[in-house]
Amino acid sequence: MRTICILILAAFVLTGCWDHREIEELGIITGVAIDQPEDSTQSHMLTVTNQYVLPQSISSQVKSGTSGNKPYVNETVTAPSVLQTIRDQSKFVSRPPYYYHLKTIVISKELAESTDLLKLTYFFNRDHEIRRSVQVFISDEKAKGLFTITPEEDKVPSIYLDKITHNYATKTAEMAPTISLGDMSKYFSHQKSFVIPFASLKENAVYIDGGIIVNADSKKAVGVLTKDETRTFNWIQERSQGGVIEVFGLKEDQEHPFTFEIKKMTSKVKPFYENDELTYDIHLSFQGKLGEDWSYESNQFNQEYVEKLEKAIEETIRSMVVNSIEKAQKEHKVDYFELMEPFRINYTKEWYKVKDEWNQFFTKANFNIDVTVVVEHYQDVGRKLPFTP
Amino acid sequence: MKSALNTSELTQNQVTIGISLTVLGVGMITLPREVFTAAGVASGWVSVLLTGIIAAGVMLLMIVLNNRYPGMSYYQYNRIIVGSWIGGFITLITSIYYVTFAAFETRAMAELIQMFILDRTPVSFTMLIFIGTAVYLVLGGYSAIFRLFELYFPAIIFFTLLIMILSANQFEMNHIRPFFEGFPPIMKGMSATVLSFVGMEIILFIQAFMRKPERAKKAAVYGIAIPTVLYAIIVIMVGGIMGVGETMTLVYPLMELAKSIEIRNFFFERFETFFIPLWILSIFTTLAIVLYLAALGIKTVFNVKKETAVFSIIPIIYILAMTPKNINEMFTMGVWIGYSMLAIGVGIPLILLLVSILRRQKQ
Amino acid sequence: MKKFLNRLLFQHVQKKSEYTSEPFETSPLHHERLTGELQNDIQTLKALLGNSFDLKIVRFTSDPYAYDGAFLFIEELTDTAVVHEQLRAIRSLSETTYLSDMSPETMRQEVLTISESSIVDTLHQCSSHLLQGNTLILSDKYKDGIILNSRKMPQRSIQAPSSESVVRGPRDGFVETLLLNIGLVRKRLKDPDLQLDYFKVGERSKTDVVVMSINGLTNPKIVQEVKNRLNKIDIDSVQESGVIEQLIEENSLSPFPQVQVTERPDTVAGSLAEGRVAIIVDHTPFVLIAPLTINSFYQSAEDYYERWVYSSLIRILRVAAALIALCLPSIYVALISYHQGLIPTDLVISLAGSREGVPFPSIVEALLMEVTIEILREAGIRLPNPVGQAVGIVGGLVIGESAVSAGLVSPMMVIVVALTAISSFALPQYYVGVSLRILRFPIMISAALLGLYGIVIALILLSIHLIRLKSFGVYYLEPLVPYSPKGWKDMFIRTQTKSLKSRPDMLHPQDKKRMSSKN
Repeated sequence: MRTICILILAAFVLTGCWDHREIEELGIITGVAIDQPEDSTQSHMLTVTNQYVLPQSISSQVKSGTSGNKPYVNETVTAPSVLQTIRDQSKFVSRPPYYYHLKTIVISKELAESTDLLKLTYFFNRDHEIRRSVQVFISDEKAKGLFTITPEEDKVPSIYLDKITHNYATKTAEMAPTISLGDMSKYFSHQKSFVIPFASLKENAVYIDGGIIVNADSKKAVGVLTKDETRTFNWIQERSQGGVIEVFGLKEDQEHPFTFEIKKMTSKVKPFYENDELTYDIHLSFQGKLGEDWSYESNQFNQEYVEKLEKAIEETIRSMVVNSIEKAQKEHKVDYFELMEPFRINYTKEWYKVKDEWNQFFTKANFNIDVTVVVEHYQDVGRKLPFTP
Repeated sequence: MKSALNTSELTQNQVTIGISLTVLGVGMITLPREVFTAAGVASGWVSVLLTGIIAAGVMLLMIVLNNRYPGMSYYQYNRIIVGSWIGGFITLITSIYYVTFAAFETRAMAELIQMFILDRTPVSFTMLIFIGTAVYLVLGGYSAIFRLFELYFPAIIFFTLLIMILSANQFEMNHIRPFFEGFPPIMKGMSATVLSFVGMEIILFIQAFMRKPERAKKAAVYGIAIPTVLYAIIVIMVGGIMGVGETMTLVYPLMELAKSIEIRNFFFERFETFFIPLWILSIFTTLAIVLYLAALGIKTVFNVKKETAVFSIIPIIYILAMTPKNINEMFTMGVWIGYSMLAIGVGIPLILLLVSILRRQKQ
Repeated sequence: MKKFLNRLLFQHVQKKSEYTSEPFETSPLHHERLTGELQNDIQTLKALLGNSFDLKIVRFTSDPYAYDGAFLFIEELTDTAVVHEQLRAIRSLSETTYLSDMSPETMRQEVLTISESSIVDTLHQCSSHLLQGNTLILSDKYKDGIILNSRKMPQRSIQAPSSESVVRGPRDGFVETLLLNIGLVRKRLKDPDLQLDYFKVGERSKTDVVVMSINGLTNPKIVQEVKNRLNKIDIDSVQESGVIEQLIEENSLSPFPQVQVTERPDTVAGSLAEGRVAIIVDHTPFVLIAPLTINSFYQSAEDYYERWVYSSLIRILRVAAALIALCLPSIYVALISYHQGLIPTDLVISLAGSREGVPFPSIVEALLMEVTIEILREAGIRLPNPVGQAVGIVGGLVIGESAVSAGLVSPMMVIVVALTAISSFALPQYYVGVSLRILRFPIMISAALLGLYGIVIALILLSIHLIRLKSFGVYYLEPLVPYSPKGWKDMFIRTQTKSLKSRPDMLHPQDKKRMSSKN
């Protein structure tokens, strides 16, 4: 028995170290940007840019406090498949690419509109090195462009992009919800259309504004969400608990705008299916406070006035929501609100029938939209002047 | 040296834990995919519970059989029921089944290791180390095996539940709704859960080692209830987090679940590599007991020393484990082991019970 | 003081009637009895003891019947004051009494003032008593000799134990004298059931060994097992309890000690009251306690003196320290060279940056630093105290600092190694820290070969070893496994003293109750 133990131990020592790789020998990749090749003859190919972090230059900058070279290197390769681009990199990058720390994947809008996104991201989903939580963005221009900026706070653009997503959900409702590789895979598996955040480059900074709709049927990007559409999307899905709504006055002239700040909102979606007619009752209720009010009539001690304001806000929100849904039905023809979920749950049998042409079915649906707004609180000052001028 | 104070007989706790950890093995990691693929709907977790209840019933029947021959294990009394030739044959077949089972567990572990931790280390090397470790345990006798199980049990349960708790914030109720879509899918799902309950038949062997064999019924029911509930929780959580459709596409759904956990700004961002050791433990426990039972069978049939029996089956396990050419063949092997459990682990003992009752044997 | 202790001892010591082996088998003189002829007997004894010059013979005579007698003793071993006192007693009597009429028995009882004395009649007994430092009185015409207990006990004064210091608790530690050590324990357990079994171990050294247990409490199987193993020992000399420890332990290949070693009388008394057995060896302050279980890795006597919340937290801290001492360098090596993906991205970048330029793989770096630390520790122990500290400072600070700035090791590795070293010293028992430090190296190597998988396999092997290990019939991991909820009350967490109503189950004490349920 003991000899066997010793033999096993010897085998340990004499062989071994197959997978040994020291930390400093890795090419740590934190971002991948995928573009269409510039050369139009290579339209079937992909241009993949990998962003390598240079740890030494970061740590020396931290030590000395100087900002020297860029702490990252972008390597761009064009090849027919994603894996091929990675293998091609080994030809000129001295360190083996290491994807465990991949943070962001950026796909250019151009590519997303023409390529099946499931096929494109399939490699990233399958590889066990890559996390499910990698954030995905669609870029307005070249995806590679987002990786060439030099942000002040975080030195590496791909890490900076990842950190921006942390602002989502509490500060603003105008950003589309962040989406990770895992989420994308889930949406595709469940035949749901969804929205990917849309990033654009403005003067050495990246803005994440609105989103791109991905159709579950074609698996391609089919449209851009405006600010209002993004808000509607966030509200119906109850994704966002913040943000402000501007209303331009109570009267026709719209001279005295005021701002409502949302603190909390809930959304209830109920489908009704009768005689092949699908009707949704969408009930949105908002609670919040009055942030700003330009009107001299402002008097929040007067409940009637507050109710008037609430009405106006409700009307604004309602029109925003109605317009957005109409646009989704008429223009995009995609149910990116995930409205199929309540239908699937409540009318399971009917769902199995319409499953495959759901988007078609969605465009014919009717909507009853009901918005309630409660102004819970006015700040420290309830009225502007003690009298009405 | 023989212990002056402690008898090596097993307590009720040890038997309960022994059954749980034998049942919890490779099945845990792939179960959600198999259930959802077979059932197609989220209510697949009910199939797990139902299979668990059936398994408990079968185990109670096995205890009835055991009780007719008190103090004897299945290997010993099968020759009393059907004569030494057929009995010996049954013992041999059972040993072969356990050897194959051990090979499957080893291979599955090696695949997991290769896929997630060491992709360039040869599979045969990781397997040999694993088998060698199990042999070291098995040579310590059943008492050591069951005491080790007691040591690992809290860790395995704790960390499995920890994955569930850490990933609970991703849970979406909509994914597992509607809760009920009729019985046919549930029935279909049950067929896929059989492999996950392989190992419950060890009660045939270990009741004889118990200090108080009359407590076997309680131990068996608790022993099967723990993995059943754990499986159901896993299926519900994976279903609720990944969704039924996504789960069907994943090779190791529980692993994906662990991979999706990420705690930012903590010393470890990712946990999945920490959970792999726990699955190694849960596979190791199954391997150890299965190896022990295989060796016990060989020892009974060929009347050799325990060491000889153990060392003679190591090469067989290794060769069998290397047989599947790819991961699909490995999964097929798993399915066949599930079926052989039904035949060898459940079918034959129940037939023996019938024969025993007809012959009115009782000791 | 000494007399008091002697009395304490001799009331209960059961002399072993026969010795396990005859030491001077070759000498034919050995089995002979005293002849009753003084000159002859003295000569024989002298020959038996190798005509050694330190055998002192003080002859005395008494009139009128020409009584002739002699005191025999070995000078260095004997408390000569006793001899002088007895000599004076005999001389003062001899003027009025006829000594020659007195049998040695009468003389022992009526003349001698010493409290412990006995009658011997074989040469064998005479010589062995002489070698122990006792004084032999021989008289002409009588075939019996009188043995006076005149052993000189050269003893160190009682000091605080250096290997186990505590914040709260008694400051006295064992010394090199057996009787004094027994006295220290007895003072703490004034129990008539305290049983002392006396052994002599070592054919040549004839070291006194006393096994202490409590009648009607300690499980007799454990006591019997200890006695059996002591009886089996056949060795020429025993200089320290460590030798006995290694001869009676179950598995001498194991890196783990199977017998607890302590310098503290309160620990011994506490263990005896729990149902353990203490083995006290003469000439060493280190007392053995058996059986040892995993508990003593992280428990100290002090835990029972402090309040329970504090003690529990300290114990958890010690468990954490033990795990750090065992695994931290291996986990670091595994993370750095295999599983970089587990570390947060920011940390990966800074670690990679700090390791840039280090020429060695992390395992070499770790081994280098670990070995350096071990050398420093060893050097610090061997050197005199002030120099030792200097070595520690020079080694720790200077080598660490300059190794980092020379780019030989990364700063993180220095932190890891230092933390590991400190953790291994945080354990209450020094020898436990030693076994963990030994195990650290194989785990580190397996981590370097197979990453986390290697660590897991190494830990599985370790746990199998622990599961299979026993100490005097008690499983090493009790009460952790097999499950014993009663034992868990006093394991990682020490619950309130009130709730520890029964003695540990694992020791199977005959008297299970420790405290009445009224408390």
